Amino acid sequence: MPDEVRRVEAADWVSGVAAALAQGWCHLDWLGVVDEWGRAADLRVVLRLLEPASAAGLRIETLVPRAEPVLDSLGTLLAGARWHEREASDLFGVHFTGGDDRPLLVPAPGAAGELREWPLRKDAVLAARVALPWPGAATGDDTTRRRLSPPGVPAPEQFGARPADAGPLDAAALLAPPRRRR
Amino acid sequence: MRGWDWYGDGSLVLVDVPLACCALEVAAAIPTGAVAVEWDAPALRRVVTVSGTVTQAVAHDVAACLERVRALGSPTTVVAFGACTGGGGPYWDGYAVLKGLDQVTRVDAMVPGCPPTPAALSTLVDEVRNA
Amino acid sequence: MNPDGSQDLSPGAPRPDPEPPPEAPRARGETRHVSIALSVPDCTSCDICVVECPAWCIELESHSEAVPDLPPGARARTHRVLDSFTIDYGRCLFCGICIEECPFDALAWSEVAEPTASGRHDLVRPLTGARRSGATARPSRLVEGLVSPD
Repeated sequence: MPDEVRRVEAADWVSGVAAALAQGWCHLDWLGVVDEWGRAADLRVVLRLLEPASAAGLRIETLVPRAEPVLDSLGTLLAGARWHEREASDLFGVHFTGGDDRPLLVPAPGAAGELREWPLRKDAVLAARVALPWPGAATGDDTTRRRLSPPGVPAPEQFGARPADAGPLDAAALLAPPRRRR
Repeated sequence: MRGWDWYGDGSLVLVDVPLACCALEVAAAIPTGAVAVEWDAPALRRVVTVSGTVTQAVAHDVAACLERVRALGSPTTVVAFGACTGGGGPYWDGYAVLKGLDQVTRVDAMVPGCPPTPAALSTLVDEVRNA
Repeated sequence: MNPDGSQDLSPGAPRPDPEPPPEAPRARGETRHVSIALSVPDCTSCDICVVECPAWCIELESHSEAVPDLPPGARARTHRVLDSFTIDYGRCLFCGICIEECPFDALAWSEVAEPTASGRHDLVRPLTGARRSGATARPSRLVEGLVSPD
């Protein structure tokens, strides 16, 4: 059976989850994030809960702005959610107020001007692939196919050697939002 | 380090270097007649499987493990089990990831899959025993 | 078995015969994800699978050919003809995106096992039935230190 899905406002995150727990969705499965870049300037925070007897699933979702993703921590309701929140913080940069803000895997941001990115956001640069030939590039006698670029990989001329008088690297301009059909 | 006397008769001992998810498939391939032994138990043939992503941090120690098994003297087959040990797998472009076990040591066989099936390993071990 | 009934894992102890797990019920049409197969007649060389693969593990080569046997008066047209289609199993993560994205259902999961590879290059497998470019992992090459007749 497919999950029930509920959308709540960010301000109602904790109360919405508390209500679900009271209804019997009391088993924490996971808390994760989806980057809606290309559809909206938001990060979608998703909590999946299970009803233990039937193993039915409920997903509670909320949107937080990518530029300032702040949400209340669920730690007081579900202690185990703190770990998932640390992971969401590391990988997407979401800050959970009142939660555990120790980094889990990814080191804290470095010096100013350093290219800071959260690895699972869609604007994370796959630097290791910049200079590699992409199999999806149109080659040979294929003149009919539209020229595409691989997702997550900026063009070498944007990312590599630049003129000495070029300003600081503008991380936001490196990648274009993906075209999303669904 | 544990080894498995795969056929229970001393003909072949398999040692796994379990690094990630593929190790579960190696474990699932162990036949019911296998006997748990020390990694350096006497054997006519040896198979060492490396299962999982090889990172820079463990590369030296993994290579050292393989050398210790090779140094026992029996004919040995080093198996790169799964995409990660084959070419880096899904993580091939990771800054800390080796693009395959063969970057640091000689590899005799690579089993494709992410993960490969347990049957892929048991078939290979049978071939090694009969080689 | 230990006196308390737990499994004896000490070296030398035989493992007990476990009860085989019940066969998982399969949905109709479900195929185990052992490898990926291509139906060459259905492939139009559109390159969508190549573009969508997150691991960059698919390589496809094709060329244009004039469409033959057009009705009289029709304008000349061309179509793509597939030359080669390979998956690099050293990178493929079995995500299935290529299979989902193919508009012509030319790609599918297969239960046919890919044979063991002899080396890195032998992990690049043609899906068209073409000969593999890498050396085959023959049994006599599998075992280091083994004197083989050939």
